[in-house]
Amino acid sequence: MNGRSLVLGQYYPARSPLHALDPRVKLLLTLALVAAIFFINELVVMAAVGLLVPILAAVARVPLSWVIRGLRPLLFILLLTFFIHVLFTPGVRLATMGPITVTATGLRHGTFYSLRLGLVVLFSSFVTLTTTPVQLTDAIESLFGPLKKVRAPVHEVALMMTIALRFIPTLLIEAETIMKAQKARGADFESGHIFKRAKSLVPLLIPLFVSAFRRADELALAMEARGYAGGEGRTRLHTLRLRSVDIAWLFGGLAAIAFVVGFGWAV
Amino acid sequence: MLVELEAVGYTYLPRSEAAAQALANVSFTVRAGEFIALIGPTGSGKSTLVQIMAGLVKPTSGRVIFEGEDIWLEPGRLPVRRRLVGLIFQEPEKQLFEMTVEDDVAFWPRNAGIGAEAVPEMVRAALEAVGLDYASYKERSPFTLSGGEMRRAAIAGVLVMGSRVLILDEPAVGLDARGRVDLADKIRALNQTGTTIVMVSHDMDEVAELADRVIMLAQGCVVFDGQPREAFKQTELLAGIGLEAPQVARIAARLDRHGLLSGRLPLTPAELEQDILAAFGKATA
Amino acid sequence: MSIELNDASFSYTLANGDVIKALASTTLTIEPGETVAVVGSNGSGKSTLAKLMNGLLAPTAGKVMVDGRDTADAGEMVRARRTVGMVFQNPDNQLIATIVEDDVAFGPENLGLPPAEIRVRVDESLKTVRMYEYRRHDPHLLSAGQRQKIAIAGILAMRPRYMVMDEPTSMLDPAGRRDVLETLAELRRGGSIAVVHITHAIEEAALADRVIVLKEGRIAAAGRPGDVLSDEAVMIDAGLLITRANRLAHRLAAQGVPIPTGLITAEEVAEALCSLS
Repeated sequence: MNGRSLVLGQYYPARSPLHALDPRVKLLLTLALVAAIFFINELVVMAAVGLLVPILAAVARVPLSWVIRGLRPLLFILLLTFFIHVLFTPGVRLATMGPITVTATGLRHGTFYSLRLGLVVLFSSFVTLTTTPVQLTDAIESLFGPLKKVRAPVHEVALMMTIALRFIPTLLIEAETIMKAQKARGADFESGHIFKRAKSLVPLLIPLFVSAFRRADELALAMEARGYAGGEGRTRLHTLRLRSVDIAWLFGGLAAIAFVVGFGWAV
Repeated sequence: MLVELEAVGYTYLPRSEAAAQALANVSFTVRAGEFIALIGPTGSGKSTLVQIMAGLVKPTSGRVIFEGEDIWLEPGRLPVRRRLVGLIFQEPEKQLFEMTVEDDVAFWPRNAGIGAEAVPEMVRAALEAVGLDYASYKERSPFTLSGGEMRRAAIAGVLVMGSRVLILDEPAVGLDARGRVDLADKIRALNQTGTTIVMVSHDMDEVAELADRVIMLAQGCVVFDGQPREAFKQTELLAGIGLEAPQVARIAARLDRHGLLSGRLPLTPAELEQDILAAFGKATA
Repeated sequence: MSIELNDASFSYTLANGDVIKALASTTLTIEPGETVAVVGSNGSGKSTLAKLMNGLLAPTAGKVMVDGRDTADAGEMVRARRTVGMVFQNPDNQLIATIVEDDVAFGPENLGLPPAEIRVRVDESLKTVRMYEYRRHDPHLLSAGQRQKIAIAGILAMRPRYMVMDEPTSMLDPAGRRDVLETLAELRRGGSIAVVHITHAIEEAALADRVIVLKEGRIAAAGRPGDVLSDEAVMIDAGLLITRANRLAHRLAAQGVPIPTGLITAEEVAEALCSLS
């Protein structure tokens, strides 16, 4: 079990300018880009923006196939969006198959809306492809930092996220072991209708929860033993520091996005 | 011949770049009444091997044969076939989940469709075999028991299957001295009443005193299969794979190098004592 | 400067009203630099003793003083945890980060040290436990013994004067156990940190300067390993067993072989026999 590494999320390990970019800058730029996409009205402009995907993939040294893979969970929704627009939009008739009419407008809308949805997902995925979960947590903690002044539990939430990320692989392995142990006692997790299957999960869920709570107790004790007393007065080994190249990316990226939005809006 | 492994191999994630071979070409036969100790360093594939032996995991190559039948040829009959081999995982108390000890031990019989009238007696027998009194423990919640009691209740949950082969994966880890001795006695008793035992263990002293056959696993391959006495003679092999010989064997090896002992290598403390007395007796005679 | 328990005891009440006395009226001292082994069966109060020493628990009666300060005083419990580090049984449930050096840094971060200082301490502790080359690794990919060494490094990075280890090897395989015991030996040689080693394994306890035997919340015996661990009556009474090697020494001595009976490990017995002939 020790030899298997679990890649969490879609992180693709590589050395690239995008990987090295400050995670806060990545988050902010992605947010701006995704917002900008909603200001674009023309299919042509949207398609042009879509060209950014292979360009970013090259910069990030991530194979394009990996990037596209991020669309898989959404394939159904994308196709649904496309077909609803294609089949139910009134306009210039292109073809008819019985009660179903396909129009040019429908095709255009279908492509536009599914492309928009797809691009939002693809651009967001560049963050998870090039940033480790730990870096993301640090970035979020830093960006939300000012909220500490109004007593928002920023540090606590970030710590919870870090601990959760750290324990997900451990708990997955434990779940696998518990499943096998119960299978050895005749438990059947596979067959039966939905209610039966839900009930058969009890011998898995209860031990898993009990174990998780026990771990939480032990971890809390270990943390206390190491002097943990909340976020006040804590320092960090690694602090996120903006380099000039990060600032360059931030302003350059925002400027480019503003340009595209202005252009798309004006057209 | 109860369980036979024929050229069994197992690879994790066979079609990906992260493929790792856990077992390669493992072959041996488990015969009725044996007490086999399965030893090897962590990462040698022991856990995977016992899960394959119990019919829980399908090997990526080779055959698993229960009483002459290749069990993976008819996956539908697996649940019934699995009754032959009971597997007690490491820290089995982690699998307890029911509201009462009786319900938890009864998990297997109820799943197996055994009639409700027969279950209480099976539960009672299983609990007795681990030293828990049926009347006082049956209504208690497993989570209110002490650590040692929880482990015993969990073991009972597997013993209730009445398997002819019982595999125990490091059953004594985390127990104190008394607990270990008590458990060893119970396992020996099971073996003496006819249950074939396969025990994975790191405690070589225990292995030397309980097992009649030792199978040594290293990096997924069987590197030794034979008598304990022979196994513990192989000091370089043991050291090479990160294991230590039992106390008795270590003392004997040191005395042997010094010229004090000769002849057979003693396995048990009693044998060593005799040999040393003889050696000193000769010196003063 | 020492850890002192003065008539300290600890009791707690169960949901059903029963009062459990985990540790009763215990007096002992841990001096700087020494290695003390604590043995006892499950339920003898070992873990409670450990937690009283580092301020995770305050005594319900009596006093616990760490370097002259009473742990029951306000604010002292937290300070005690900086002076007395603690390593637990399960390496997995002590690790908090997904990168080794981030985890070792957790303690110093809690102390509010400047990043440069944290860096120095992290590197130093990892080198002491010989895990420096793994500093950027994911702990999941390491063996249990290596993870336990990381946990130890995490405590060492806080530069405590005392370190309590609650059964640090009982969940490890022989290789992992050797790894951790080597680290302990290294710390002993250094002499700058006192170690309280709570263990089941009598052969491990034999390596300490002093051994304390606990039974049902009280000290049943204390003294040199060779004296205490070979006293069969005391050991059995405390629910423990003498080692097979020690039993052999007793039996040989009883039958006329002039071998001392205070030998605990197989190696000690073998050497003694060789030097006799």
